[in-house]
Amino acid sequence: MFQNVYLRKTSSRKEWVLTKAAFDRFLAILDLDRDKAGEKYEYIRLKLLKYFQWYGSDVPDIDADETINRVMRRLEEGANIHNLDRYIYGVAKLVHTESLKLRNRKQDIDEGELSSIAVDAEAAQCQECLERCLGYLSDEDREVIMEYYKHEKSEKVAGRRRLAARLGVSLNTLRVKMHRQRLNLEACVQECLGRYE
Amino acid sequence: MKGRSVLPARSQVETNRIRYLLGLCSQAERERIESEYFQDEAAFHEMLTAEDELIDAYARGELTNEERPRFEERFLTSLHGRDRVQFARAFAGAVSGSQPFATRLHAVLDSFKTLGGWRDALRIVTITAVIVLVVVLSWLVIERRRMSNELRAEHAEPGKQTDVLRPGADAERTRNAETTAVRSESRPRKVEKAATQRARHLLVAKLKDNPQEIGPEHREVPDRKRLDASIRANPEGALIISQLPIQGRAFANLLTLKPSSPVLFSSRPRSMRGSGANTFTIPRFLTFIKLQLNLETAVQHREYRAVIETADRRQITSVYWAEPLEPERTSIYTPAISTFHLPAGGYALFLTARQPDGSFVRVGEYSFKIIRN
Repeated sequence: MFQNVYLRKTSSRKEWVLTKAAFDRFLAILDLDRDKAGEKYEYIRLKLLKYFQWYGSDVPDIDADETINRVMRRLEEGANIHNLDRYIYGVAKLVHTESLKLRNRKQDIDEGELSSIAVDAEAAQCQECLERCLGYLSDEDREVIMEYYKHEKSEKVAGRRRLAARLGVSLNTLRVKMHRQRLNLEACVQECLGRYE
Repeated sequence: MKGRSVLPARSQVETNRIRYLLGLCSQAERERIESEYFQDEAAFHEMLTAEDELIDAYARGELTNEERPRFEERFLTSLHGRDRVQFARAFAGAVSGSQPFATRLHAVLDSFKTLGGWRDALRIVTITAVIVLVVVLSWLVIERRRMSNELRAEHAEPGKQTDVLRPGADAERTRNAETTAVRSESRPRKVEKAATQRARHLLVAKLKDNPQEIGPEHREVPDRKRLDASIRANPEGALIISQLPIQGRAFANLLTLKPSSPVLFSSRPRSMRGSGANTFTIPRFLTFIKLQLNLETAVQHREYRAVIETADRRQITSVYWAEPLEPERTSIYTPAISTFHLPAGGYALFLTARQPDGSFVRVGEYSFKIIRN
């Protein structure tokens, strides 16, 4: 004889799936102009990417996307967010905390791996690619970036001030421009290195 | 954890950013900085440039003992971080012109960490580097004197000079090619190239299909009349080996290669008939060779890259150089290649040329065999 057992049916929690509507709503909050909203979206994602990289995340891109997804979900659910940047930062901290619990955070640095970074064929190829990528710049741009990065230690700041004065821009403006130029060069080198593989 | 950053920070704000990136600041300070750059675009840009500065400082070896392991823990445990450091090292070399050796030295120093007591290792490496530098400089001075003596001797014999292989134009072309290629090579190779560039005279010994013809008797000053006659008889490039008779020591050789079929080590070139296998006998005292690569068409590109591989596809070396565009030319010359990399055996040389869009196109394949005696 068996006793009837009633087991209450438990429904599985629904995973939130990003929809076009949620994404469009998010962009509309960023800016009414969709192109500008797209730029702001990329900027937010870059900030999150850097945040997680600087915090030592194993998968900064995944964590950044997870953060944005959560923010978009909250907006879709009707949350009234006054300061979006601050809110995004708060969600990022939460995602990072959860990520720490899930993944093994201890990274043992392989000494052999570090020494292998130094001198090897890839370094020579990198040098070669860099010279090629520098060749793609205009003479003026190349001269400026080489001048900007050539100084070391104590001479660095003074040298860059002189360069900024010569170009007629503020030091901050020069820094931002040189950073973007450098990122372009890095991307060019990585693309070039891809051809050798 | 508190610590002092020795990076050349302009202000406390910048110092704090560096400490943030290295994970050296308190939780409260960390959250303050993060909150700032999340809400302020300018602050975020300054974080990005601070990151660039930090990576550059690591690449130049400017971080302290405390900062370096923190940096490595945070930046070198990801592929993206390692790529950025690699770029920074290459970029430091490009802007300074002499950094590749320094960055390599720092990398070697890094590897001494596993031995413990890396400061002692640094001392040993520094002393060794100084000794090597003194030896190299002494050798350069001695060789320069020998070259000068040789030049004086040559000038004392008018009419017997450099018209054998158009050496004036060739030497100039070689100098130009080597000058543009020198940036792509390591510092020790630069030193070797400087030595070869000072060599001005080429004496030619004909080597047809008899590699053994280059025997001991040709290591001394060869009979120029006989060699000139041989060259005139075979203007299309019988194998030519050239020596610099600087007191019996040779610095550079010019070897002529004809293109071979795509199959490696084929003795029959696909496009050029009647030529034998590319076999060279390189005396052991020769330290460098150059290769004259005959092309199937006239020179069409400005920049070339040659990769030399062994029979089992192991890359030996690669060289990258620029060539002047001369429509009439059907051969180009590689920069000097150290014979240290070329023991006896079979090799293949893959020649590619850079196109205007930056990609490389295969120009030709050459196979050759080296005999050392």
